[in-house]
Amino acid sequence: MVVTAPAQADEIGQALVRKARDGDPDALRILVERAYPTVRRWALVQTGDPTEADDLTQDVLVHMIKRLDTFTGASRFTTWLYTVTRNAALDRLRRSETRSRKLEDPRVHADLSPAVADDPATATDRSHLRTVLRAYFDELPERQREVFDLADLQGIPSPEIAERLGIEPVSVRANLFRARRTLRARILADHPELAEEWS
Amino acid sequence: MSDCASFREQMLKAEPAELRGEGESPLVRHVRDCPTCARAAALLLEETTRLDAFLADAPPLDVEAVLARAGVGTRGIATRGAAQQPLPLRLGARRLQPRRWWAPLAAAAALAGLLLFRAPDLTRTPSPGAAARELPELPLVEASADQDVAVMPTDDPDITVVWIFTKG
Repeated sequence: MVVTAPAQADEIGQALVRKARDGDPDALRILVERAYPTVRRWALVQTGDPTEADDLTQDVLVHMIKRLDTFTGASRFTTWLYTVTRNAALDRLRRSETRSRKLEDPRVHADLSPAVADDPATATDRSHLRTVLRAYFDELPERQREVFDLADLQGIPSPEIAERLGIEPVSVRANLFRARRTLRARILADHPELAEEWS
Repeated sequence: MSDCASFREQMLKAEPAELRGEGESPLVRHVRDCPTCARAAALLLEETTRLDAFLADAPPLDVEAVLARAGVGTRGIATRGAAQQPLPLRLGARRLQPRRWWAPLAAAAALAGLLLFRAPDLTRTPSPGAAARELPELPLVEASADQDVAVMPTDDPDITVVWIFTKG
């Protein structure tokens, strides 16, 4: 089964999770389908690399299925899922760092993405996406990327972001302002004609 | 135009709604009146939308592959314990399967067939080291009535494997 539906994680209700946890295969499929776009997006924001993001997404979805019984319903499902994603990303990063330290291979540091046999069109798309993401996100710490994506791109209110990330709302605002400033300054710097007009 | 520098600063931290011209803040009013700042605001919005589109563009997912990797069968998550410890549980499950009584007989028949085809080869193409020697006689094997026998010659003319097993 192939899913191309837009982000729907916010539509995941407790009833669906309960059904999936109780062994309903259809509910589990729907849960995976709805969680996928959101998880993939978070993975992309956290890794900044489409190939890494795909691998991380798979890890998270598998982990989500296996750990579904640890979701108590005390928080939103998306909050729980976000924690799962972050932990998986950190774990993956740790493993990558350990691997690269062991190998002491400079290529590992240059590009963490594994070699994949993409077709030329996909490889071009991925290369383009990687370039765009690096252009936007390279200068931002991970926390600022997360907050900017959740607040300005997805339009999630600050209190919910704070809950999801486990930080204070004031910290959300501070990270958001810094992220906006860095990103927007960079965008404007790429258009020197505007600077000329301003001067 | 002299105010543009300060409004440019404000644009760097403004809410997206202000860049879209919503509300009546000093920034919104300035952007409405200043073509350069309006162009800058439009550019910031456009690039942000572009980034959003890139992040939202997820490739198709093979849900079945994810479920399989998680060890979930057609009966749903109830089998997910198998994924946590896949190897022992699967081996255990295999052990619980009923014995196939006909398997040894089928194997014996196949081996006997193999022996019939391979035996002439032994006489025609002895290994160089064994060429001067007499060809080995196959050992005499006696099996009881409830046993079957399979005889397997090997590349070494001095070694023949004899498999005696109980029927059924």
